[in-house]
Amino acid sequence: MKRFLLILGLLFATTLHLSAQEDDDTDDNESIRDKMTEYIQKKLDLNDQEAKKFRPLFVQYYKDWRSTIRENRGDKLVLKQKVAELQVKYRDRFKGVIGEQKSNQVFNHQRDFINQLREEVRDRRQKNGRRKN
Amino acid sequence: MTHPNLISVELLELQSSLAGKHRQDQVFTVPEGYFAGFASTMLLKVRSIENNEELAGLSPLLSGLSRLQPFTVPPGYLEELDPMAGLRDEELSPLLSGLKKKQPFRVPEGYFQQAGLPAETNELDSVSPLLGSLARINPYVVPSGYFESLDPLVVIGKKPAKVISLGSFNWKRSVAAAAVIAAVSFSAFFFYNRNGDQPTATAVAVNSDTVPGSLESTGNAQLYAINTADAAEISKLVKNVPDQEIQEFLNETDNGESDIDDALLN
Repeated sequence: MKRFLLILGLLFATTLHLSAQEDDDTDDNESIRDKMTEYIQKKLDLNDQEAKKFRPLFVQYYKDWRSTIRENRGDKLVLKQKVAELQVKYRDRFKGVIGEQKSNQVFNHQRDFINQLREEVRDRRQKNGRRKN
Repeated sequence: MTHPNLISVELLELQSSLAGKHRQDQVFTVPEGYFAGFASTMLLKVRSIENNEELAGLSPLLSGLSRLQPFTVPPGYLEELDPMAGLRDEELSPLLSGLKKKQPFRVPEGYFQQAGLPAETNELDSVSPLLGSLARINPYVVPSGYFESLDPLVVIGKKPAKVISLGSFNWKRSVAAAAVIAAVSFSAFFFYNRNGDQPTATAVAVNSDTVPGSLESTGNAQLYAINTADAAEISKLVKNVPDQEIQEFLNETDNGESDIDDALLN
């Protein structure tokens, strides 16, 4: 019985630990980040070679973008400045991989994606409201 | 031939003309035992002739040589021969022959009998009188069979360790444990990986100032007007992403994006 309880305890501890890790991983909304990357790659019509190089660069940009927003949330003007600086910085990096024209479009597609997410949330809420009624 | 009567009788029965005639005695006789060694004698002769002829054909010189050993050793010569017999000690080893064959060290008569306990006692007395005065008898005595009956674990006050046999594996208990573990694992897996298709009660309200609908009213709708196909594509992409996760993402990034949008719009 003692052995059984010990195994059960270890199992729970492992499960909790794994779930905690998952929470840590999803701090940056990895699934949304991946969907966003996928959408932008498609909109930019990147070939396999470009996509292979672009993806890690965009992931890095996404992390920096999230941390910039977190760090400068209190001051909107500074936030604007910091985000703009970040995007200019990464636009130059993207340029080396996907060219100048496409690198300018990256942030437009990012914005479109986020706006559509807002629409998506609103639609879901409306649908759920109808179901409840 | 040894039974002439029988032969005569047989000839009579056959009515042969030879039956009436008497046989004459043998003129020639063979020495006694002549044929006993005949075969071997003849074979030896044949072989000797053959060997000689063969050797003569190969080498007439060798066949002409006598087959007798020219050198002879006196009888008992090799048995009596000793290779060292003629050598003296000086010839064998001058160093060893120069050594005296006498023991250089000697022990006085009765030395070991005299040098015994009394001498040692005297020496110990001179070094340590106290130790010398002590009796050389062990004051402690162990009862007979004491160590044979002694159990070391009992002496140190410990119980013998429980022996668990590896062979007594309880299958039923193990299977039950595995079933419970599997059930808990699956429950935990589904609990932590539940899909967000169902809306959650913790969804946070969207800031109405930032939704595209309100921005459209500003007259810059073309900037936010997303192609219907793109909208459908994005909806399809995030179909399996839970509401809560999208909402958290929007809440966190809302300021950043809306401010950039404002900057772009103004």
